[in-house]
Amino acid sequence: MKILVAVLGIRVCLLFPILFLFSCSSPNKKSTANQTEMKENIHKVDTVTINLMKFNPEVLDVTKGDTVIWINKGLVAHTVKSYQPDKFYSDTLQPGQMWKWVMTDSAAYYCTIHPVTMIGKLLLK
Amino acid sequence: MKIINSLTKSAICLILSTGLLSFPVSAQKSQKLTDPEIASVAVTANQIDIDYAKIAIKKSKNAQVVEFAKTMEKDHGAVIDKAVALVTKLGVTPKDNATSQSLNAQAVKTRKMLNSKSGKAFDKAYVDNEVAYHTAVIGAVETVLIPDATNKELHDLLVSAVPLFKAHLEHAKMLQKSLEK
Repeated sequence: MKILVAVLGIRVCLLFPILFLFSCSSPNKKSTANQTEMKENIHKVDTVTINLMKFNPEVLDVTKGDTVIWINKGLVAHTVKSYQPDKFYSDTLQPGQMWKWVMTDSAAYYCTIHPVTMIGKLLLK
Repeated sequence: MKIINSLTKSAICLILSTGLLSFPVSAQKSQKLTDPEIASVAVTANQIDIDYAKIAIKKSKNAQVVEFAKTMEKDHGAVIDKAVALVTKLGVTPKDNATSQSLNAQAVKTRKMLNSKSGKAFDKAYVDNEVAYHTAVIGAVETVLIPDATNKELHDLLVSAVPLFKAHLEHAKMLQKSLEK
């Protein structure tokens, strides 16, 4: 009987530190995951309004990973296309429609329907 | 104030009438246009440019000219749609008037002139007319239609159309230069 109690006592003593370690490690994992999540959430969402035949703002400072949303509040259809070929192109945005792009690099862009006057820039910080 | 307004309109008429094309708003009358008359003039002026664009799409072999004409057709069509939606909402019936009639009479002559030309001569005539027409329309909208409009929504629609017409004018001027080369 004494032996049994002694064995149980040793097992309980061993179990405590193990449980303690587990209880410490779990929140650490959660904390790392939260930090990653927070980093992802730090990326901003910027808006460029298309109105009165202008991109507003015409020049926008962005950080890599930011999302830029173009909203067509104008009278007529517009597009958003990078001067650099095959970088980005919104296709036709009818009045009231919007389009978004996640920034990876600086880019100059224009409206293919009104290429002479509608020009914008996204500058990576 | 009325005298100044009248003198301004007369001056605009004089300036426009010395150009390639005159926009007859101020030539017809010095008294204010009513909102139904303004709606009629706005729809007529946009429809006229759509009709010119249709001729260009059919006749021109120049890709840049055709692309520009397609933009004119779509953009002016969108302005007409907005104007029609607004007058429908307001319960206003566009009223035919001397200005609309004069615009249409002039457009008949211009269409005849455009249809008589072909090749590079057509492209030049179409683009030159677009520069002159948009210049005249912008002047008339800014100095006659906007000041005369009494309904706020009609006034705001006219104000928002001006940058569109100015963008068209810049595009037409760029084409005009490229055709000179």
